[in-house]
Amino acid sequence: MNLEIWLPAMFGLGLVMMGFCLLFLKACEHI
Amino acid sequence: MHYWFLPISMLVATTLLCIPLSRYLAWIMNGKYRAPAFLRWFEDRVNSGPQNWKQYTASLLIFNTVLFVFGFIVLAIQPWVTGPLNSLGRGMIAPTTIFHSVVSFMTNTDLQHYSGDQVLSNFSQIFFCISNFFLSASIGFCALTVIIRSFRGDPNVGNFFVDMWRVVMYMFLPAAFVLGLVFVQQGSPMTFTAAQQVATLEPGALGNNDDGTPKQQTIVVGPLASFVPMKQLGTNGGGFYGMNSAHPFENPTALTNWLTCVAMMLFPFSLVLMYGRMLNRLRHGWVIFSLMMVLMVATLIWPVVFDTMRPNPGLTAHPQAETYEVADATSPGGKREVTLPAVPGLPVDQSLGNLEGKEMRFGTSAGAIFSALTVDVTCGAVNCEHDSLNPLASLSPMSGMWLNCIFGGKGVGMINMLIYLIVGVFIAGQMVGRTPEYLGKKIGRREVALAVIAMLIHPIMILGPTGLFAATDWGNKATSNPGPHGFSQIMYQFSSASANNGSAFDGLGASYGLNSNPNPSPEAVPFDIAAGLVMLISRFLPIIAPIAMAASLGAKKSAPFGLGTLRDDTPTFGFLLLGVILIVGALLFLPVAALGPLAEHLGPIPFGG
Repeated sequence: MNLEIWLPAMFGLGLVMMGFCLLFLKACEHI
Repeated sequence: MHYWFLPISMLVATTLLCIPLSRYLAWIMNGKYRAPAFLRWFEDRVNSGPQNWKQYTASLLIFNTVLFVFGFIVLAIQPWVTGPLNSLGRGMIAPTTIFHSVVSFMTNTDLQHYSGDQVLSNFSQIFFCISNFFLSASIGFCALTVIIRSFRGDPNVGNFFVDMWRVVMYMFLPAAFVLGLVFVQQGSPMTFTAAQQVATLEPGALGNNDDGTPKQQTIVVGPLASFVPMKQLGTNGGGFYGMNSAHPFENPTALTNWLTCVAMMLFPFSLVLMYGRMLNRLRHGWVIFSLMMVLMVATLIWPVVFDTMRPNPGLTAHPQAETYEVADATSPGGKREVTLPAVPGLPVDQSLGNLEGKEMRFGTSAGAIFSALTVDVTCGAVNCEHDSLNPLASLSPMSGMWLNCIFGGKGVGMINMLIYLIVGVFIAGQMVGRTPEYLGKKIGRREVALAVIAMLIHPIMILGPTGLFAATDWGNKATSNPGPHGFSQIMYQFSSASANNGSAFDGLGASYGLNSNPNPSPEAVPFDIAAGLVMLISRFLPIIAPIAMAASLGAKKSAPFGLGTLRDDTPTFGFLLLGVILIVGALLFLPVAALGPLAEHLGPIPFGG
């Protein structure tokens, strides 16, 4: 597995998903 | 009768212990404990001031983001760690496995696509696993606390960081320390030494060195006695060894096995009563507790009857040895043949039940009991092979994960029960034509919408990926058995991920391990990524939505108690809630139960189909 590609990709995926959770929190305010 | 002594003693002891513990937890979380000055100094430092529910939840998510970054860095730098904490020279872990593992431990799931003793250094075991055991375990605890305060209509719901501090320092650390001492006394290693070289009983069993001397066995050791207590108390479940609690160092004696089970139930039991105490509705807490206990007893009896008291049907069905063709991605043509010996040729007394995959040091029923308990409280530690449970018996751990509210993890199990409760009260209100109320507050459209969103995330995250993987080579090339059993392996993987449970059915080729692994499981990457995403979504969304729901409900005025009010502290209420849980659970998961364990039980032995 190419570390130069996969390491930042997996790190970024985790951060993006946590951002998605924060967006969900924002959305819950308006439900 | 001897089958039942073990579970009864565990349930009775935990119930007795959780009564005073719940009082202590409520006392701490109500802020009545006056800590020594040096601890208060730290508490003051982490206190960022009063928060409303949005600020509290945002703090929770940001803290978890930091936890993700920290965990990712700790695992990624493993090859560069030298000295006694990586004396075996563990190298770089595959990036997808790092992502999966970090998400898994951060979300309190601890689903492992690696074997800890083969892949992790003691540095990673300490700074990644143990730290996550404490921190991830306190997240659900804090989430339940903010829901309780919101229900009470508190003007502010406390401070997330202060609550975290109190949970870790005043609850988890003392309990883990005491339990750790017992594990040391019982024989668990507590050392920074990475491994012991020992001569095997049969010299040369592992081959010979170049000079003709017998090769020695390398036995990995580490700080087990500090690892295991919080693994259990925090319902984490991630093993130091691949064998988890079946390993003699991770679970050395029958006493530690008993304590292991009690420890994983202790906080989930206590939190239900803490909920009742903090709301000043202890009777209501006991009703919910009793309902959960009924479900737990049912899930305990089921595997003992269908696994401990019944032989393996795959063995007893055939008088002669038979050969089967099974899927195997590593074999030419993707298939290999497996020969099952006839029962008379096996040195096993089949009247003792299904002994395959059991750790016999603890007795014949200990594995089946553990399999039920570990999923009910979403711990995920295992002391037997769930893949080897008789097909019908495997329904017990599966249903525990599907319902996900039989005590559940610390806090989140109670939160899941509250979702069922809101939906149940709403349905009951519709049936009798009254506005539904909970805690004297009217449940409106917003509360029901948030509850239903939280309720549906779990089945969607199980059924969607299971269908996708079962229909493609991602799943079919990873299963070690064909037919319904293979389907069960895929379904169990995503059930465990979505329930934040972490137990594994095993038999599924989902392991990559070290990046230098020349022969990783071919479908490890999609399983790593998919299970990681499922864990993240199923962890945080069903926490956020109920907090919003509780805040919305708590902000409403209390209606006076009247003749038509549905009482929430009676057995009738308990039966109503039980009915909602069973009906909703059956509607959501009966089809996959039919495709997996039920089809395997009714189909041609050994693997159904």
